[in-house]
Amino acid sequence: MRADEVSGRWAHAHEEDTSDEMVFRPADAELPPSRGRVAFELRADGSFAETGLGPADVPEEATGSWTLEGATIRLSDGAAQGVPREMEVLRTDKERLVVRKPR
Amino acid sequence: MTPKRRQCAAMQEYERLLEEQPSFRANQQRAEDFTARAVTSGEAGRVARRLVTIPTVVHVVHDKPKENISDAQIRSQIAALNMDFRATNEDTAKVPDPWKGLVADAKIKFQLATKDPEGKRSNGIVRVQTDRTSFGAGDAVKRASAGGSDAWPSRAYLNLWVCTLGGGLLGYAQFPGGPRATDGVVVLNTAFGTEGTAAAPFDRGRTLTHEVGHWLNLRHIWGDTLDCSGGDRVPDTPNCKGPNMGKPTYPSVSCANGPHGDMFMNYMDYVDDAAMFMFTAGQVERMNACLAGPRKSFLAA
Ligand SMILES: [Zn+2]
Repeated sequence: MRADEVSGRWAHAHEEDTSDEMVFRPADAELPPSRGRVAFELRADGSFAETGLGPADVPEEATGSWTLEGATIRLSDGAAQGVPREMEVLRTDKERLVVRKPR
Repeated sequence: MTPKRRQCAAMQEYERLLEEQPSFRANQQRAEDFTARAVTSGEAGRVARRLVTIPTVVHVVHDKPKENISDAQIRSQIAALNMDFRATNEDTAKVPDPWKGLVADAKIKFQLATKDPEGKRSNGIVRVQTDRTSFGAGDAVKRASAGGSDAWPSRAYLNLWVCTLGGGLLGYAQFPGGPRATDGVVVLNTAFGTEGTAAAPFDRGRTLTHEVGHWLNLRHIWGDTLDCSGGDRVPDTPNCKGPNMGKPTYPSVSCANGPHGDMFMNYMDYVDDAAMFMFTAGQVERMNACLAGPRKSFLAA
């Protein structure tokens, strides 16, 4: 898997999750309102930005660095309630990034 | 989702709150210490014996006509909020048997203000025309100079702002102990009330119930960590891993909390309006401690 296949801005489409999979959609997709929706941006320069859940529902912003090893995305520390720090990519295309749901 | 730029502005606002106002963190810690003491000493219990009325002001900040929601839609929201806080909402009947005994009446009543801060008669509704098409989580909606509406004194009123929010945001709150000028709750206009522009699945007024829970110092039932390490500082809500969304099926087990699992029908989870319908006795005790301490200005009213 190449970095450019997973880079970009993704928002958690929790509505589409299954018991084993987490589904992300391009962040500019029209997703419905939600009490909380984590999102992240993987940039070509190795940095990331993310939006995590907040304790009073104000989204928490954070930035850091990321790597791709095989099919595993690893992110440095970020938001307290952000995306998983390690995500195994199951499949990806222009419309979706699907990762294995962490146990 | 909103452009990244706007969310960065929101974060900067939050960071500013924490870093430029060291009192915010200190006040939150004081509120937490007081809560623990008030619960054990019985001070929270004394508040619980009588009904507390909270004068409430709704700031409707609108650009397009449909954002200027009707008085009836506002009243439908206050009615729903009051049923939820008195546990007179019909759907408490859906609480699973093991938790039926935990359903609690907070004995808090929210009433649209009948007097403005100058003592003049009021219907408790402030309507402000804005040229902004939407707001973020950065509190601009709470400032007239930024296209919003200034708060009424927050020791005497609960301030609610209703507007269009970007980024799919439904609402957000401020815990006790924060700056007075931004104290209160913001809710998306299409998630406010039970009629008019209120849209499913957020059309039963529960976004406000959840956010007012935060305003009275309640935490999310998963404890704001996405593993099993966090807690909500309430003993009768089971530990759980993270937010539940949509309309889950009972039981939904996490963090070894079987057989009953997550209390996802609690107002302080992230499920749809139709799937949440209870506060517990422990949560009510925390809210009472908040009214005995950081928000005691409302007891005199
Ligand atoms: Zn919340």
